[in-house]
Amino acid sequence: MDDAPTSAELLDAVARVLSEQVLPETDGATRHAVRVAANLCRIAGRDVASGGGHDIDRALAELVGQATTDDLARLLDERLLERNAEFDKSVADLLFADVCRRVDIAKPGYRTETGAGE
Amino acid sequence: MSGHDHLVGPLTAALREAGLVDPTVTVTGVASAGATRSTVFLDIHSGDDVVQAVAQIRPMVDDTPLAPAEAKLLTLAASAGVPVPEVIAVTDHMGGEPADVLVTSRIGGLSIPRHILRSLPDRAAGEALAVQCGTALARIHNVPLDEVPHSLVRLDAAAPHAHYCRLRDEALSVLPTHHPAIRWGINELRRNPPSAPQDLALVHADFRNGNILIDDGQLTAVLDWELAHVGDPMEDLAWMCLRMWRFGNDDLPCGGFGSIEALREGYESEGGVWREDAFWWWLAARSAWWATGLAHQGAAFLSGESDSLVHAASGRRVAELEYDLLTLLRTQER
Repeated sequence: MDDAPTSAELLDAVARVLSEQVLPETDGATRHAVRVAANLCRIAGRDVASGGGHDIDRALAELVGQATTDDLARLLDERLLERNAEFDKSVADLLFADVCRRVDIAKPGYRTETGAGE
Repeated sequence: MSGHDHLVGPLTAALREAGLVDPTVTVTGVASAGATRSTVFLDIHSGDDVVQAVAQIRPMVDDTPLAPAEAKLLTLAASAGVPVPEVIAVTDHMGGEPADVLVTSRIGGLSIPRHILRSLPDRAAGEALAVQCGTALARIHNVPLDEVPHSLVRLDAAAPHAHYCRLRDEALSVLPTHHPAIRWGINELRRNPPSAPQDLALVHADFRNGNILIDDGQLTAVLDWELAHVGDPMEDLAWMCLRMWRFGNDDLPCGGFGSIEALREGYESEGGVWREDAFWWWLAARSAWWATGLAHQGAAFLSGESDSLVHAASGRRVAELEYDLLTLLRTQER
């Protein structure tokens, strides 16, 4: 059971207050800090609402031979440091899917804009 | 300007040591001021002359000042025909304290990327500017290597790309956080090095929209030589064209104002040798570099070394550069 408003809704509300009420009253370095703070609230809100990348994490954990996703980034990094081309190939699509998931949280629309060099 | 008047005495002394006759200094503005480093605008009166100048004041790190090498590079670049500020003074102390100080002439022009983009009246003006950037880069790459400061990093001439990958791996490994996507990218880069340059060259390494001055469509100065090193010249041409320096103008890859073709035209017109495979390799390699740089900023926030929200945000921007890196490499594979 969850309380309402949810964490995502609270973060969205804070972001709106910062952007719509606080930002117009500030200038200079403070204005920049408020803008960054509002953006980080939106990122955190999207992160909470997304529910995490459990499917991708579980699939990657399987590829590194782990039953759980604990410490997954470190384990993957260690395997990648072995520079085994076959292993790298096996995780390529999942790593890309994970990056896409995270970039959608950090900056929605980034993937649909024209990509680098395209 | 109050708040920076304490700089007047030490800067005046530094200029006197540099040989100016009875200089008097007025601080006329502040370009940027942080806790440890600042860039201030000065009027320097000496005899009948008044010179508008810029002083970059940095803390001394490991007793190794950056200003002497940067001053030397500015002098070499000027000799090669690159528009750069003139060096006025270099000093390693301010008011009895160690400091890393470079005073140069102040050159007119816009430096804020969006202002530059707005100042260009049409596409032709942007293309002309891209040509000028290519020309300036070719001239930088023509600087005689035996004259560049020995303090600069030099990539291994026999295998510069493998060396660069090793440096990227090391920078990633010292982080407290783990970034498998960047590691994967470095592995791919290592497996697929581009053609070797005929010769290594002086690489500016931060030549981009934001580190150049533009006045009425003309490139008036190349700034910020802190990252300069000896490496593959194609690194500079790629860095200028990374997605983040386009400011949304993705149809104009060169700084958001010009085409790759125009940049190449300017580069080749001054004898530069364009290597297409290296251009693409460096687009990805510098994406890996900046992804790691952002991760370092995020780590500074995590460790408490920095309480800057911008550094916290940098941690979340890593994904953007990872996306660019993987997209570039996956595009190349197809």
